[in-house]
Amino acid sequence: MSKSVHVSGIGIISSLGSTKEEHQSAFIAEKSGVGQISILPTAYKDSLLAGEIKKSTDDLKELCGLSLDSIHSRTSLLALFAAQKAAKNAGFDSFETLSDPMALLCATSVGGMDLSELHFEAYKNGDEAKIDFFRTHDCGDCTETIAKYLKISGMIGTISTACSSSANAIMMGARLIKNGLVNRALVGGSDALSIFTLNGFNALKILDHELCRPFDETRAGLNLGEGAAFLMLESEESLGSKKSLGKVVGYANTEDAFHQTASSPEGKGAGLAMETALKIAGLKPADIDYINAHGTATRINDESEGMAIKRIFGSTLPPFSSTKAFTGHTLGAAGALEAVFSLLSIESNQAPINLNFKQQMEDLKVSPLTEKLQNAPINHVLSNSFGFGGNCSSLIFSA
Amino acid sequence: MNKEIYINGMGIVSPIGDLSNLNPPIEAEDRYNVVEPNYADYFPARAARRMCKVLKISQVAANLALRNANLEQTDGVIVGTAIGNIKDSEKFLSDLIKYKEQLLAPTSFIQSTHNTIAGQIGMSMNCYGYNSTYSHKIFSFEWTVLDAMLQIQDGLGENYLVGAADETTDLVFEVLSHFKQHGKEKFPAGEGAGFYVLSANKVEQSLAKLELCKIHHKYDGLTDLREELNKVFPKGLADFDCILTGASAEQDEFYKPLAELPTFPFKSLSGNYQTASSFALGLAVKLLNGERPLENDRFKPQIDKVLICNHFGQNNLAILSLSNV
Repeated sequence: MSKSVHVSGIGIISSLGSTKEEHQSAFIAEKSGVGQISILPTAYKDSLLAGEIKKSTDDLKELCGLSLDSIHSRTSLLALFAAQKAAKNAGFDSFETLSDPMALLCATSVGGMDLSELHFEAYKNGDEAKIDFFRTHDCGDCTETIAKYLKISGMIGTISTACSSSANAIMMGARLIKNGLVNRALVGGSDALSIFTLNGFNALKILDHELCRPFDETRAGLNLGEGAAFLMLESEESLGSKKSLGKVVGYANTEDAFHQTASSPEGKGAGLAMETALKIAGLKPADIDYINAHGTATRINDESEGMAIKRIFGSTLPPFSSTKAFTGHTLGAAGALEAVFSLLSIESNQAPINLNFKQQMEDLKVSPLTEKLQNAPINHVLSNSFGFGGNCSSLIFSA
Repeated sequence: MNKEIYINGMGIVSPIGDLSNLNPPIEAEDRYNVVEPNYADYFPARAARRMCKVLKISQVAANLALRNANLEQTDGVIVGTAIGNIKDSEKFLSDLIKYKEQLLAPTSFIQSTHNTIAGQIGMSMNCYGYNSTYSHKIFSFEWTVLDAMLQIQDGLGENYLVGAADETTDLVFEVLSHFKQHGKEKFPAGEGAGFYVLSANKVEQSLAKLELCKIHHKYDGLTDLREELNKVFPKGLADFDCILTGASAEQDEFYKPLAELPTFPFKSLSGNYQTASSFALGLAVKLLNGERPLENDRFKPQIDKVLICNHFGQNNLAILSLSNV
């Protein structure tokens, strides 16, 4: 249990850009990636906003170095792009020459639905050739795609716990290293926008037609987004003389056990996740310098998460913000995206503001970060990811 | 990993029932369906109507495992499913196409997420502990086992409910047949749910000791199965009184290297589906406890150690081993 888990590389793609620098500049310029939908062929193109990556699936294939006639879901392409970047950032062009097995854990909530939904109707109407597009439907496809192109041997797996999926992938990678089962783990998550999820959230009536406003009294729901992010985790021995971007020091996963889609008003599961993560990290609430909140901007999440944060941190409440108004809610990728943002805040001693916040929530009476936090020493960051089905996960990263 | 892990309870819903007897499945040409339990014994009929088959059989198997272990709650719930509540995904997708993205009810969308199974089981026993869902083809079940072993190893809890379930809908069968995973020359397609209580504690009702769980992917293809296994078990395979294989037909090239060993293809009983190793573990427990399927002569009279070996394609190998308590 004593092994340190270092982050030696990160890779990210979202509506804010495809490099960490582009994400940092967007945070500094307070420029959101959420806007009009132009690529997803949905009936809501003109009425709903989303954090859409303005690259076609063909563009993504080119970026990943794949042939245009290969069949890959958008989710798998985003995953591969971010995984390649994270590996490269950690000094690996591929893992072909590794002598010992490693772990690859990818997380997704919709998997290859973006491709299935485009061809489902034609198939049902008798176009049997469309069946080939269902090959990439299951969640495991993105993971196998990464393993194939990055030449990974070892333990590969896929986690699907809705919006907390990739936080759990990071957690599992860290636990495998801590227990000495592997020395390296490539972990992260990916979710592409799909008509399926857009309509699902719309039917649940939790999409805001305006820009979302996390932790604001007037918040009216979330904006969806898409993206992928990966972290290269390495043990101390494996890291050697390479630069560490931070350590994974705390993690916890709890169940809210309240309702299939709603969190408990007091945020019981959320509170438990934060407390347990602090305990595992051996840190006190006062040690946390910044919280990257889940903050989806739905009525229920922000109330419940806010209550839990207030309860755990009390008078030592650190600056906190949700970055969902920048990226949209990227579902299964959100935990990994926000892990990258947490690491960037440690690296730069800056934290992104909570975009679109104006008015404190009446029941909560706390304000998220609205002014840039600059040159503040940020050594310990807590990142929350909560999902449907009561899945609550918290991660803690340290310098 | 140095702590010992025990299987203290199991619950199975399969094409041969709950394994209370090991009769072979009713003859079927291409598909085995699970013997559906009387759901009313487990949850209210109103709740059952909203749930698709994979959710219902998971909840039943979970309840059976808990009851078998004499527990009302565990420290966590970890579920594996290769394709999840696919029936609900099909329904929501069909509806959104049919109604052109208008006036959709969210129910089937909510149920379609993979973590619905673990979430519902967690809620049914008021479990605020660890809760996770793996959805990775044939490794889905092994990940739940490995995760629980790590939880126990790290001292985060003592009892974990783990399991896997998948349902073969008409569409899934069609698609998998097209990709040659099902076919006339193979065992029929199958489905089922297998749940277990894994525990740090050896108790009177402990069913078996879990020795090993290994997930092994090789991007450039596995070498000969015997060689791969020799790497995991340097002392050889002679210790195993029975090897349950994931062979998809009586003759499966992949398992040829084990020909002279006491093997049995578990998919002949469960049918062929991605998380069938969650059935195999239950079968192994039964074998350790002296029970035998009808083809008795294929098994040694005394079985103290069982190896379960499952594979997919040329790249993926999953290994579980267990022994008598």
